[in-house]
Amino acid sequence: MDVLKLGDREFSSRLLSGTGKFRDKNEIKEVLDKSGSQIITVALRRVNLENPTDNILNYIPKHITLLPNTSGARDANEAVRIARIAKESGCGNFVKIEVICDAKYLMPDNEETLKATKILAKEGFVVLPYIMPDIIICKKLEDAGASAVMPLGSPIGSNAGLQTKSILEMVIENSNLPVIVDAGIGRPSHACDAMEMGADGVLINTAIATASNPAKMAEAFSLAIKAGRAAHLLKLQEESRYANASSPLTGFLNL
Amino acid sequence: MISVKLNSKEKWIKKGSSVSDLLKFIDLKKDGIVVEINLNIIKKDRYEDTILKSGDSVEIITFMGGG
Repeated sequence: MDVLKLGDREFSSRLLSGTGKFRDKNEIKEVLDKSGSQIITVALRRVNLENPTDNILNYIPKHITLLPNTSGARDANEAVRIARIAKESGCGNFVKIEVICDAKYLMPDNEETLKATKILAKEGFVVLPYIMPDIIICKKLEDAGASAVMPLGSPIGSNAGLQTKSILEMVIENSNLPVIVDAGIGRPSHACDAMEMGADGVLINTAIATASNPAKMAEAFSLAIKAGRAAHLLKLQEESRYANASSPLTGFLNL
Repeated sequence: MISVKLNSKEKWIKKGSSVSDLLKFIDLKKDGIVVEINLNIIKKDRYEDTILKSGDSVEIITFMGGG
């Protein structure tokens, strides 16, 4: 069976979802049902003391694997702190490391991300670092004990697709860890492209959560990811500049 | 009464209050939250016997939507 292995867990779905930006949090369950997604990201923030009942975990079915992110962290120490808080809350040992101090493009700080990965992997976390794609950092993250790498396609929430495509191809070619393309995927075709290229999974949040019908869009992404994966496993045909007729070039009718 | 910093805001509470007392005072259930005092995570089974001191920085953290 074709599964995505992360830490000691196996997942049949290669679509990772996010819980940000939903107009109605009740849509999250439907998104997961329609897409078959088994992993979902959540963020940690201070309790809103004005409205302390609003906990996102109440909207996520229990069988779904939670992937807390360290968003809000500006350096490795803050990421480590957030990851430990997440683990203490009893939601498992998965963590998506996100260290960002650039407000315009939300670019990840690969160096601080590597530092946090080293610490958290030693503590038994299943570490999925969000990175700017680069084959050198991927090798270092592998040595540091990461369980996957999550290179960005384009800036978070931009819907701009795989702007880093040629580098992503190098990352996929060289990585011994699963490669999950995260951020910027705006259309099912972007997700399909990533999977055809050989990505092991994709993480989609904005494009599903802000769709006019999130559950239907989640289903569309799910189909695209399955199509891309199936094509990748079959090895795609070479491209050519010239035509290569599909219909016979002999026996033409005498018109 | 003593003053603590609760999520960076000053909060006056009775002297000798535990973490459990504080949560009751602000009407918050202990499920789905994590409490830090001066950056140290307090385990849930220690909420009863962890007494807050004047000037403690208390952070109460929960899960929100995010990507």
